[in-house]
Amino acid sequence: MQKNFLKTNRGWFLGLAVGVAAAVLFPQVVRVRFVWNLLTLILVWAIVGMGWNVIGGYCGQVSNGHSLFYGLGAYTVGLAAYKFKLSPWVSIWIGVLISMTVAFFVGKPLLRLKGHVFAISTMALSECARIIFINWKWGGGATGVYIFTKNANEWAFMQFKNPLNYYYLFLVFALAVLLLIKYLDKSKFFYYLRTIKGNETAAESVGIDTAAYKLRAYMLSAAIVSIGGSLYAQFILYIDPSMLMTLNVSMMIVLTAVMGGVGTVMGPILGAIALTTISEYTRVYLGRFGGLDMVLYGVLVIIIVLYCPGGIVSLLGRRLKFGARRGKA
Amino acid sequence: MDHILVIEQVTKRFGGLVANEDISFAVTTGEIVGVVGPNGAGKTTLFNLISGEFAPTQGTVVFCGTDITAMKAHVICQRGIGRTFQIPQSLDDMMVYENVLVGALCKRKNMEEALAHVDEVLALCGMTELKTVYAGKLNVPQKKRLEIARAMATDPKLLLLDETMAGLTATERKDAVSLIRKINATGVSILTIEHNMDVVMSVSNRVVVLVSGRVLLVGTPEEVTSHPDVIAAYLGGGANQDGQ
Ligand SMILES: Nc1ncnc2c1ncn2[C@@H]1O[C@H](COP(=O)(O)OP(=O)(O)OP(=O)(O)O)[C@@H](O)[C@H]1O
Ligand SMILES: [Mg+2]
Repeated sequence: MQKNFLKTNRGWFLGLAVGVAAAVLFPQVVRVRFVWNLLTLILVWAIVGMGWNVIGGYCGQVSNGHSLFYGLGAYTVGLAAYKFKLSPWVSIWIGVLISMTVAFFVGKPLLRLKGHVFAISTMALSECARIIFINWKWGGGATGVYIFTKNANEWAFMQFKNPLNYYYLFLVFALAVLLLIKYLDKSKFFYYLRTIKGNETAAESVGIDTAAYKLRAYMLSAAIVSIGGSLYAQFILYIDPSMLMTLNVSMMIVLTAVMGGVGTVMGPILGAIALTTISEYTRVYLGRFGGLDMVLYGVLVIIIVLYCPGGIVSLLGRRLKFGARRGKA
Repeated sequence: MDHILVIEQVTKRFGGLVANEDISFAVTTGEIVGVVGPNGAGKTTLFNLISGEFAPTQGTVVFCGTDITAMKAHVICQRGIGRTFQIPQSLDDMMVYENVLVGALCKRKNMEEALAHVDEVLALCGMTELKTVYAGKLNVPQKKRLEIARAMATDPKLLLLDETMAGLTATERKDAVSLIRKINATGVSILTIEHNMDVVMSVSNRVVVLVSGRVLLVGTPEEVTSHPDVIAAYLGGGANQDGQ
């Protein structure tokens, strides 16, 4: 199976090698701080988008509240460093456990809800979480917490003076998540998720425990998004609820996957590149015109979603069969 | 002779509507049993009760000696009851082989094993040529065949077929009948709902006649066709031979 995974995907791995090489060299060529920043954010959103894609894309359960897990990942890392001087190398995984536990308990009741009801409930859920965190004095409340650890070893505490270190480290994380998703793409697990998305009655009739598989997908999704949140907190060394746990963040997570191509391996990565680039540039160049950046950003998103509902992957897929699952193994 | 399926005094009410009332009969291992009855007689409801789509209001369903009445649909499938749907429930965004694959994965963890099994099932069902066609592109007869293939891929001991031949031409029907016989020859017991009387009578060992949610009669095809009540209630009752 392992051998086959490499063999049957030779073309894909070749493409990946080229992509990674480009990702490594690009910031060396373009030595602009803003671009480095942008590239690092793209990686965070790629991870988060891939995470959402598991439950929203592959399994078809559109969660509009994934900022909850993003926030949990960020807060765990932040508070662990601030309160307990704990290295993020450890606390990232604590965050993953916390997110999966929360996903387990909220997923059980929520995943019974269908379609829009589920979407709205998850939205309400993350809003509740945000309000709880705002009122949580020990956790920093509404003002948040700076998590910079003084005199700490750069690598041990993941606090780099050179911004490119963040980029390269996050690249490794993103790559790991991508390989995991690629591996799962043709697995029993993901085929079951696609079946659930396609038709739950049919899924049950071929012996799929739909409730159990949805829950597993939700937990895996939460875990990956949590890692994204942890890395983001580590990058900006600051946490607060109105930055991490808003509806905006939830929407951005959904859009990353939707724009790139829902239920595809490469979709969230392409979506992250497009969306983060658009949003960072509109923020910088139009941000001072009070909200104009958001308007333009919204319009661009609508255009892309309207004219290419299959996401960017589907545009490329028509010509290159690039990462689109219709390209058959 | 042991019974693979025993239905005991099963009743299903939808609010005030009694879709199945006090139904009792059994399927012997290895048998093909036909289920006939006019539209709305409760045939599909009966299948839904057996396959765990919903639980009966009263009564029990026993499969291979185990009471499966309260079990969920996916558990019942894992235990060995496969089913097709009257309205095909294909996974339109997946290719034919992937539709069958999700069935094959029911009893298999390993992908290669499952894919090998898919090839066998597709060959059995005469769908090898359609392997990489998207299910959404299939016509209705092909979709009905895909329903059978997907159910067969789960390695059922008992197969429930809900009007798999409605809308087929005479030649297609012949193919379908031979497929059912082939499946039965591999040791799978079959319960099949069919409107076409010629088909039911030729393929079934025994026939259950349902009228208004009740069992009117259980018997061999000869007994059923010659029974005056059946002629009155069903054959003579304006029900056409091909169903809708
Ligand atoms: N889920 C449901 N909720 C409410 N009523 C239902 C439900 N399913 C079936 N019924 C009703 O139960 C009765 C029997 O329906 P059923 O589908 O079992 O008939 P059938 O014998 O399969 O008919 P047909 O030959 O048209 O397929 C009908 O009156 C139908 O409207
Ligand atoms: Mg019916």
